[in-house]
Formats: sequence, C-alpha cells, structure tokens
Amino acid sequence: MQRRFYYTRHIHNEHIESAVHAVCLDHLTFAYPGKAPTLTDIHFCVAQGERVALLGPNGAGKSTLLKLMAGLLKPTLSSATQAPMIKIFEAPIDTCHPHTAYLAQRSEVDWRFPITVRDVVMMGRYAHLGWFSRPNKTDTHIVDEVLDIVGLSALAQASISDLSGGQQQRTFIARALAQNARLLLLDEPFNNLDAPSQRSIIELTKLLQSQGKTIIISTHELGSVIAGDVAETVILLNHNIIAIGSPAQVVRPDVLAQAYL
Amino acid sequence: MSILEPLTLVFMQRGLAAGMLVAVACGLLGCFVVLRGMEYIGDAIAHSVFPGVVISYAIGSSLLLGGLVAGLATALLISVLNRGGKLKDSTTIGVVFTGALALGVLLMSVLRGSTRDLSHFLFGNILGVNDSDLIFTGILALVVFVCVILFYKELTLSSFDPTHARKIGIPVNSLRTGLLILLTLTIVAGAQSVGVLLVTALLITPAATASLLSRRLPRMIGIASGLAVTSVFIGLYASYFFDVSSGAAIVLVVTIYFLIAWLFVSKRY
Repeated sequence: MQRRFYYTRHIHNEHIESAVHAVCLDHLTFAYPGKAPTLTDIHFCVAQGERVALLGPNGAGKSTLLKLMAGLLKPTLSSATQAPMIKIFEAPIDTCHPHTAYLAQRSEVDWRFPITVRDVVMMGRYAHLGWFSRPNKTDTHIVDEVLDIVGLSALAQASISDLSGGQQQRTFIARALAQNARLLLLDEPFNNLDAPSQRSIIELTKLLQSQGKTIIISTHELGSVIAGDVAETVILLNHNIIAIGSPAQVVRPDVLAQAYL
Repeated sequence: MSILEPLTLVFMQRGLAAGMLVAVACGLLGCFVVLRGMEYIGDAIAHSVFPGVVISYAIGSSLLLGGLVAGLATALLISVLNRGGKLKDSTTIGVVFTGALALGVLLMSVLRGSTRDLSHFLFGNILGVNDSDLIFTGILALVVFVCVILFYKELTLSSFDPTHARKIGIPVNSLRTGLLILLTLTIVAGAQSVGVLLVTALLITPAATASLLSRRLPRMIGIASGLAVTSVFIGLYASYFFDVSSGAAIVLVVTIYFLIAWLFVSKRY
C-alpha cells in the first residue's frame, strides 16, 4: 500500500467489525450555549446492523442528536460525570470517524455547485485518500460499484442540480458507501420526497442493512413510519426519550400523543 | 498608429505581463470566492488594504508590503471576531472594513500635501509597474497556482460540503484562513493594476460569468481565468488607443462579458 497523509487517524476494521453496538449514548445531555437543554438524559444503544427511526415533532432535537452521534457537536458535560457520553463502535467518539457518515438535510446543500454525481460520490473516497493524493483505479472502481448499488450509474456524469430529490438523496448515500461507512446517519431523508422516491430510499436502506450497515434515520413524518418498514426500532423523541420499541409498540395514538401534543 | 505598437513599449509589456498574472490568480481564486459566497469579504479586504498603503507611504516602505500587512491583519481580525459566533459574518466584516477605510482616509488627511499620488492605489496604475512589482506579482501568481493545485481536492470539498469535510478530518478552518491569505495576496497585487476600489470586480465578475457558462468546476476555473486574462489585454489596449483609465477599462470589459453571458444563458441549469 502506498504512503498516504491521512486527514485523520485510521481505525482498524477488525475492531469495528467485532463491536456489538454501533452507538451507545450514556445519559447524554446537550444544550446550545445560553439556551434551555435541547436534549436531556438520552440513554440508548443501537446494535450493529440495526435500522432505527428517530421520530419526533419539529424542534424535538432529532438533528441535534444525529449531529452529536456524528461528532459534529460535543455533549454538554454535567458536573457529576466526566465519562464519555457517546461511544461509537464501543470506543469514545471522535469527530473524524472514517466509518460514520452524516447525511445533512437536503436544504443544507448547495445544489447549484458545479459538480457531477460521480464527483460527489468520489468525495466519499477522500476519507481514505488524505493530502496530496489523487483517486486511483481502486477508488474509481469503488465509485462505479456504489453508483450501481444505488442505481445512479446512468446519471454518473449528470450535474447534481439536474437530479430529483430522491436521486439527490441516493447520491449522498452512495458517497457514504464509497467512504465505506458502517454507520449511516440520515437527517430527514424523506423531506419533500414523493411516495415512490421514499419507497426507493427505504428499499435501499434494507439492502444496506443486509450488508451489515447500521442506519439511523430521523423523520418527523409519521406517515412514512406508520405505512412501512422504515425501521425495526423506533425511538420517539421530544427533548427526551418518550418511547423506544418496535413500530407496533411506539406508533400508537396513546404513545405518540405524549410527543406530539 | 500600428496595432502592434503598444507591444513594443516596455511599460506596456510590463503592464500586460503583471495584469495577466493577476488575472490568472483572480480567475482561480475567484471561483472559490463565488462558490463559497465570500464576495463580501473579498471586497472588505480590498478596502482595508488602503490604510496599510498610507502608513507604508508615510514611513517610506514598499506600498505593496504595507497593503499586504494591512490586508492580512484585516483577514485575521475578521476570522478572530467571527469565532465566538456572537455575530453574523457579514456584520463583523461590515464593521471591520469600513473602520479600516476610515482609518486610511484619516491618515491620508494627516499626510495632506504629500507629493506622491496615492490615488494610484485607489484606481490602479498598471502602466507604472516596475521590475520589482512584476517579480512580486509573478511569485504571487505562482504561489496561488501551486496552492490551488495542491489543495484542489480539499478546497473543493470544503466549499461544497464543509460538514463532510470536517467529518473526515479536513481542517476546514485552517483551509479557510489559507484561502483568505491567498485572497489578500491576490488583492494586493491586483490593486496595483486596477486599484483597491475595482479589484473585487476582477475577482468576482469573471468567476460569476464562468458559473453561468459551465457546470463543472475545472472548466469554470479555466473560463474565469481566460476571461480575466483577455479582459486585461482588451482593457489595456483600449486605454492605450482611447486614452482612458486602464483599470476602469479592464473592469468594464469583464462587466460586458458578464452581461453578454447573462443574456445568452437563458436559464439557470
């Protein structure tokens, strides 16, 4: 293997593959500076290979929670405990974990940026390239492969501005796959998607799950969770955890009322 | 008067060479400035170069050096003030650059009666470029060129998706600071050609025009640099034959390019 100046310390695959949990949160609390806590006492673990839906009304702290799990925000430490409150693959969290991918809400991306689908997906490989090196044949091959998996091979050379909402979402999932991420954090992927597009994203996450990926999806749309098989575990959130369980256990009027009323 | 006549004159040769070097640097950096929405900060740095020039004039040092120090100080001050997250970026920028401009005007009023003309720096004096200016501009264009090539991957990613860039460990803030330093260098060099008041145009307008004409970043950069270089050539020629301000002529050429592109590109892709 050639010498590369990685952006971050690389973690060995073996350690990650043997971890039982992809994410563990230990009584996590978070407040933006000068504000009331957005999240209080969040406590749960997600097993590797699990698909989880993070359900809750707007402003419940779903995006914040995903960003914390992505390492983009730091938990607010309470005075009582200084122990790490977030573990990713059973190791204390690091901002730059090459095996987690965070997919921002589509509204946070500049879709007019002059770039093709293939170039965006290639950016997933940058995590394994480091400074001063260019993508080689292996990287190109991986990009071809993941474009095929998400069904965007034909649109590889298209500008991202030409894509539909569902295709945009799949482009970013492809980038996470090119990055070889094992934990995918999807922030509101169903926003402004029509039903068939939502369907295709759900099918794609199922396929990824069968390959051992852990997927956490935030959504405020009850419909997508009720109607289908977005996840086998639903976490109902409104600043703290209201309920955790199977869709049948959580998506019930009496339980939902606690978060949505 | 022969069409080739300007090319035989040494001051025209120097002016053209310096202008084109600046144009290439502006075209390269301008694309990143436009894509990252940093137009305003570019303008701010350009204006805040001014007090540095006045001070270096007063103490008798190189005007380019003085402008460079002032520009870098401003870029640094803005990024420090932005760090706390107390204010919006554009607010801090607005405060800092108008303050710097006022400082320059104040210093100039103190130095009133001076024989040398500081208006050259406000409006540019491309035909007054001497050998050391030309060497400075050449080194600078080279530095910009090499940096953009070396860090192209990281610059593109952090412009398009800073969150993902941070996630995989790219030092987004340092890259931004680096970009600001390159920007300051380019602006100071450009101020010599078209003046601090108009240098932002050379930075932004070719890139904006290129963004109308291309959907791929490498091509956009190529088009922006090409437009900037030809505008220097056409502008200088026009100023020679019609005896008008060369800086203004160059900027008007890029503005015309932009208007033509805007009219002919019917819709945003």
